[in-house]
Amino acid sequence: MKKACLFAIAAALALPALAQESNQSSQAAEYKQLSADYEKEQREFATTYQKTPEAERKDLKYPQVAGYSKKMIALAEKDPKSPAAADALIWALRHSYYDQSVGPQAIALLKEHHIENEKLGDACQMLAYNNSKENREFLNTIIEKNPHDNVKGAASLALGQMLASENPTEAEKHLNAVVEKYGSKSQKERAKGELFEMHNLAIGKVAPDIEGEDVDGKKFKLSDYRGKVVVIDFWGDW
Amino acid sequence: MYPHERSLVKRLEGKPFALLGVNSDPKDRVQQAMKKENITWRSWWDGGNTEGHIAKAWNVSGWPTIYVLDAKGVIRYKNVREKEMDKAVDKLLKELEEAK
Repeated sequence: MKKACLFAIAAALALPALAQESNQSSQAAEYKQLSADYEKEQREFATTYQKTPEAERKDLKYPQVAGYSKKMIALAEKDPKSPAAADALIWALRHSYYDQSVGPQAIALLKEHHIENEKLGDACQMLAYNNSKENREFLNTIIEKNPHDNVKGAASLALGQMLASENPTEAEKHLNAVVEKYGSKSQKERAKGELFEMHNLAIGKVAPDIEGEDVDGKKFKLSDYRGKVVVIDFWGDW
Repeated sequence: MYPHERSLVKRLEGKPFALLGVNSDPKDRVQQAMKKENITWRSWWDGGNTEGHIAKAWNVSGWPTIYVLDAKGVIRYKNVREKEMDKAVDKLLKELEEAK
């Protein structure tokens, strides 16, 4: 009797923990499914796009990020402290270039529950494309509170890119921090590239010369075209 | 993008204007594209991938990236597309005309 009683108590105690665990694993599974669905839709679209003649491409329907972002936020809200919630919120920010509407919600939840998360760097790059007060504050909070160097590096790089034309002094401070303090090797390289662009490729600067060969192996230089208005188009047939 | 650029180049034939490409495709692909899309303007071939020395030197991380230079080689506009590109080029050509 005593044994059974203890067992019942143990079971009662374990139940909520078990329930929480299974909620979290279903949340993680849901996240996996949702991101896999999106990637599948993307791949299918890419195939269709390749097959469609250029003139008709404008009529193609692109995969809609918005629906997925909203689902990711809803998923995170079920248990915002879980690792899967962090993944879902970071996903929403990574795709916020096409749907910025969920940005503020994702940022608020990440700030509250996941500011030390080691994957937060993945969300930073996209934030650079939208110079909003929320994004700036979030990136600054990451630099202040996240303990991982590569995450701080990603946030500083994003702030540097975001502020390059509006506030070059502030931008340089962040880019120098990446180069001198916490950037990974590739982050340092990108920060150096940004600094070079700010110093040499800004509007009003004389463009550095380009020397190279055309597709037929003939050499030519940008400076050959002085005296003409020139459009330089970095392109690829993709 | 090709149709717009084709018409820009055609419209400005004989003017002091040049459209120059920096291409990041493998060689056979760019040759094919130039033929198929009737690309008459010149491109530097940047090594066959997005890590080429010109794209690196110009810190290009997104394609297409556009720079518009005046006749003195000064960068005047960045990433202007379609009508915006036309306007930028027309303005700089007018400036050049008036300076003569």
